[in-house]
Amino acid sequence: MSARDDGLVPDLGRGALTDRVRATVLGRRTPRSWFLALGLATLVSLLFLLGVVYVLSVGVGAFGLNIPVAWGFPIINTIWWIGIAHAGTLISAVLWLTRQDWRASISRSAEAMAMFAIVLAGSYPLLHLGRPWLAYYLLPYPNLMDLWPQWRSPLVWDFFAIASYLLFTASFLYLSLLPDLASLRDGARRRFQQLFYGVLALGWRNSARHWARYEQAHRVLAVIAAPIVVSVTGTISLDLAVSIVPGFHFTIFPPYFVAGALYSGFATVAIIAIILRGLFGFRDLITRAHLNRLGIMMLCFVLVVDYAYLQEIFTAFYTGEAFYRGVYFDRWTGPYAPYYWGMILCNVVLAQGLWFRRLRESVPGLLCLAVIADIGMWLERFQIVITSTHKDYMPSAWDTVRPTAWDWLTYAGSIGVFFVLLLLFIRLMPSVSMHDMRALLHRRREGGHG
Amino acid sequence: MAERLHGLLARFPDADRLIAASRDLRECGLSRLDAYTPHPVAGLPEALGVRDRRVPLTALICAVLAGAGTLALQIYASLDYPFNVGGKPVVSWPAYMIVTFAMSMVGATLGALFSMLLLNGFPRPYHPLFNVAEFDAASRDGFFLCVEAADPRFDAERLNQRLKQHGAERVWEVPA
Repeated sequence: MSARDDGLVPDLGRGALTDRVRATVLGRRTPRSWFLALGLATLVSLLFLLGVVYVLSVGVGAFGLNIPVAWGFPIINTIWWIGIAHAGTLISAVLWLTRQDWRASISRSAEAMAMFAIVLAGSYPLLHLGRPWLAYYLLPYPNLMDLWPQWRSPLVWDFFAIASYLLFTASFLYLSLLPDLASLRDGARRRFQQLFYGVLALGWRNSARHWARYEQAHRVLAVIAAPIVVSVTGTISLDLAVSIVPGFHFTIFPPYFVAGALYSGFATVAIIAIILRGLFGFRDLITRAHLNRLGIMMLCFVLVVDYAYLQEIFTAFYTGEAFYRGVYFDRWTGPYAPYYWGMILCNVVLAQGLWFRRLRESVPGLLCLAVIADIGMWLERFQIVITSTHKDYMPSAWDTVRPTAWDWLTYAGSIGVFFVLLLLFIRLMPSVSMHDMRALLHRRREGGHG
Repeated sequence: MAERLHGLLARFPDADRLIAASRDLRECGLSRLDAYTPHPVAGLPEALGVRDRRVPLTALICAVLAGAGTLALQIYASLDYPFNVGGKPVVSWPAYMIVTFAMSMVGATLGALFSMLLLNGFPRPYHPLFNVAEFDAASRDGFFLCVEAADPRFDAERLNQRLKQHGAERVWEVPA
C-alpha cells in the first residue's frame, strides 16, 4: 500500500509537527471552547462530590442495594470504567507491537483516557466498601489482629488486578510522556514553564543511549500490556463467574467481558479524538482515516460481544436447569426488561451501523455510534450484575432493587470528573505524542528503517 | 579556545549522515561519543557501539522476584492462619496464581521503568550540553553528535575538520 496517501500521516515536517503540538500546551491562548467544556464538566463533577459526601455520611444504603442484589451501581460502574481503560492500553501497546501506524496520533489521548478511567473504576469499589478508610484491610500486612486477606477470594484478586493495572498505566503514561516533556522544556520560553517541564523531564537529553534504553523499557511494557489487557477485566469477570449464581457462572465470561471492554473503550477513544479535533483543530493529525480505523475496531469487538450474547443464551438453555432458564425469561420479560432490550437495541441493532464506511468516517455519525456503544455497554453491565442476583437459587431471597437518585447522580458525576481530568491533561500535556509522530514521519517519508 | 571544554557538538542535516559520522569516528578509535536525535533512530546505537541489555534483564529479574515473593507470601499466609473455605485445600495454589501474575507484572513494569531512569542517570537537571542554545533542537528536528574532551584521542582541530567532512552543518565547542 502506498505509504503517503492513506491519510494517516500529516503533511508536516518534524519541526512543524513539534511546534504545532507544543503550541497547544505552551501557547498563551486557550480556546474558548476549552473553558466552556471545563466549566460544564466541573459543574457535573460536583455531583460526584455531592454523591460521595452523602454516601459517606449516611452509608452505602443511599445506593439502591439490598440482599440479594448487593452489588448494584458501584460494581456496574467499576466494570464499565475499567473496560473503557482497556482500549487505551490496547492502542498504546498491542497496536504498537503489531506496528499499526495509525495508532501514533491517538495513543497519547488513549493512554490518558485509560489513566483517568482506572482512577474512577478504582474509586467505586472503595465507596462500595461503605467504610473506605478501612480499605487497607485488603493489603497483606502484618497486623495485630493476626489476619490475612482471603487469597482464594475473587474480591482480593480484584483489588490486586486494579491496583497493578493502575501502577502499570501510570508508569506507561509517564514513560511515553518523558521525551515529550523534554521537548516542552526545550520549547518553553516562560520561566515557570521551563521549570515545570524541566523538572518533570528529569534531564532527558534525547541521547542515543537514552533512546536505546527507552525503547527497551517501552518494549517490555508493551509486551506485558497484552496479558494485562486480557487479565484485568478477565479477573473482574471472575468476581461474577466464580460465584454460584445463575447468569454469572459461565466460563465464557472472561473473553466476553474483555471484548465488551474493548468495544466501549474504542468508542470512548473515538469520542476523545473527535473532541481533540474540535478543540485544537487537529484535523490533519487525527484524520477521517483514523476515525474509520477506530470504527473498524469497534465493529470487530461488538461482533464478539454479540456472539457472546448468543452463546450465553444457548448455554443457559443447554444446561437444562430451571434457574438458568428463569434468569433469561426474567431478563426478557421481568422488571429489568427495558434495560435488556435497550442493550440489544444499542449493541446488536444500532451497532450494525459500524458496517458502513460513510458512517465511520463522518464525525457526527461516529460520535453517535460511540455514544450508543458506551450506553449499550453500560446497560449490558447493568443487566449482568442486577438481573442475575435478584433471582438467584433461593426463591425465598428474591427481591428487586431500584436505582436511587444517588446512584444516578454519582454515576453522572463520575463522567464529569473524567472530563475535568481529561481537559486539564490536554491543556497541560501534549495530547499527541510528538516523539512517536516524529519517528513515524521519519519511517514513512525518509524511508528510514525501524 | 575555552579553557575547559566538555567536548565538540556537531549538528547534521539528517539521520543517515549522523550514523555515518558516528561509525567513522568510532572506527577511528574514539570512544566517548554520543548522538542526540528527536526520535529513536535504528542503527544508531550499533554505530555508537552501545550494547546494553540491562533494562529487559532487570525487568525479568524483578518480575520473577515479585511473582515468587507474592506466591510465597500467599502460601505463608495460608499456613500461618489455616482457614477452611468450602473444603478446599489449605494451600490452594491455582487460586493464588491471579495475584501472583498481577504482582509479577508490577515487578516487570517498575523494573523496566526505574532501571531505564537510573541507568540513564536521571534525574539530572544540569548538563553542559544545555549551555548550547541550539541544542534545544534535539527534541524538535536536530541530529547532533557530541565528542567529549575526556576522550584520550580528542583533538579539537582535527575533529572539527572531520565532522565537517561528514556533512556537519555547524560545530560548537561546549564549555564544561
